[in-house]
Parts: sequence; structure tokens; C-alpha cells
Amino acid sequence: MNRIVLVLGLLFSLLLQAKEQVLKVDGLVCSFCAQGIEKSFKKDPRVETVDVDLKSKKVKIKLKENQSITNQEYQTILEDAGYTLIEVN
Amino acid sequence: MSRLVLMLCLLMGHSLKAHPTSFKGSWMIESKFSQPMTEIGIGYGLSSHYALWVKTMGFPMLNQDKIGLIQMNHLIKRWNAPESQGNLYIGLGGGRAYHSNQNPLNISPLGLAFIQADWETRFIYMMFDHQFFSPGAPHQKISRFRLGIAPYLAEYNEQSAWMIGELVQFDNLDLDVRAILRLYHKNILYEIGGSLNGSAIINLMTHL
Repeated sequence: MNRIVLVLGLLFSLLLQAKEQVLKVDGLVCSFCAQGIEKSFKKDPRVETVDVDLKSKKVKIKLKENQSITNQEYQTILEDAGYTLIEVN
Repeated sequence: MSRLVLMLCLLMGHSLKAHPTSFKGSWMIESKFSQPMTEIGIGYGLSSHYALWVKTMGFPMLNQDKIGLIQMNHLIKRWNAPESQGNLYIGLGGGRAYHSNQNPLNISPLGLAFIQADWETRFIYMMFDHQFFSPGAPHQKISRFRLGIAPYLAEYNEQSAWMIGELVQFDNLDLDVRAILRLYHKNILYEIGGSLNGSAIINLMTHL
């Protein structure tokens, strides 16, 4: 029982570590688009780094330690910047 | 030095058009200059769908007439697709026209409405806009069409380039045909080119 608790605790703590998520975005066609997305995410105190890839139309978000952003929040941030979230990985 | 270059580019800017709206909290600076018209504008993004602009326009060929106005732009619809983006904008503005050839200086109120549609991929860019001015303004309408092609694809951190053809018409005057090279890096966009009537073009636009 103790081992199970320990393993669950470890797994939970891993989940709370800094994590990276990749967002697939529609409408991402130019540098101004990329800049708008980058600035919008950098305003969020939970975000460590933002990396926009115009070729793959993906935005890589690295979160600060023990931080999380829901898919709904990702969608809102992107909509406020003027873009459409397709999927989160 | 870089600030001096930036200021010079702003003051020398020709025929450049910023996006009418941008992301929430953004600042947009655009400058335009051509033989028939100069323009400098500063805009603030209230949201991704609304932006407030303050602009000044000059008309060197019309006795140095000038316009000062405040304008609200609205993104009516954006079509985001995997490889493209299309936009439809409208805008309304109000201000004053200064007819400097008249003594005493004649100042008249004016209104402005515009509509703009654009569509772009990473290879092709098309834009049409039409501005309507109220009576009392130096011009009553200005129309513009642009078609641009990117000779190569660039990433966000790389310098991108566009070759653009532009047609501009003031009122019912002859079309002004222009060829422009657009250079684009991160949030700074420069344009250099010329018109068939012989005037040079140097532009700058930035989003902050």
C-alpha cells in the first residue's frame, strides 16, 4: 500500500513539473501573426517560453514549474490574439 | 542611431498599410508617403477585433491640405484556415481638414469610412481597400489593390521578402501603378519600390 502511495505521489509530482505543450493553430501565416501569438502567451505568468513555428503552424509552450493551462484557456488566449486553436498535444 | 533610422523611416514612409486591427494591447505604427498623399498613424488594439487609430494625412499636390482624424477599426470576420487567413474590416473616423491655401486658414469637419478585405498564405497576399471621405475632405475616395508573391518561405526569425504590385486610385484620377519589395523581419516591415510616375517608395510599419 505504501509503495502504491509512493508511486502515485511520484507520478503526481512529475505531472506538476514544468511541461511543454504543442498547439496546432489555424491562420498562422505571417511574422505578425507569430508575434501576436508570442506576445499574448508571454503576458501569461504561467508561461516560461513560447516558440512559434510558421512552417508546421505549431506553437510550443513551455510552462513554468508546477503550472498548468487548460485547453479552454489556450483557446481563449489564441482567440484574443485572433487565431484558432485546432488541437493541443 | 537605430532610433534615428527608425524615425527617418517613419517620416519617409510611403503607401504602407498596417493591419487595421491587431492583437489585444498591441501598438501599431504605420507611415505612408506618395506624391498624392502622406500619412502617419498610431493605433492601439483594444481587442483582436477593435483598434483605435490617430492619423494625420497630407496632400502635397492639393495645396498642402492636411487631415487630422481619430478612427475606429473593426475586424468583422476572420477566416483562419490551416494554410491561409482572410479578413474583412470596416472603419469609421472623424476629424478635421485644414485647407492651408486659404487665408484665413479654412478648417472643416470631415468623416471617413473604409472597407478592407485581404487574404494571404505564406506564398500569396491580396488586399483591397476603399476609403470614402465626406465633402470637405481633399479627396472623396481612395481605392487600392495589392497582389504580392513571396519568392521563398521564411521562418519567424528569418528575413522574409514579398514582391508586390499595387494599384491606387484617388477619386476618378488615373490609376497609379506601383512595384514594391517588402522585407519583413519579426515585428518590423519595410517596403521599398517605385511608381510608374517616377516617385520612390520607402515604408515602415511595426507592431509593438
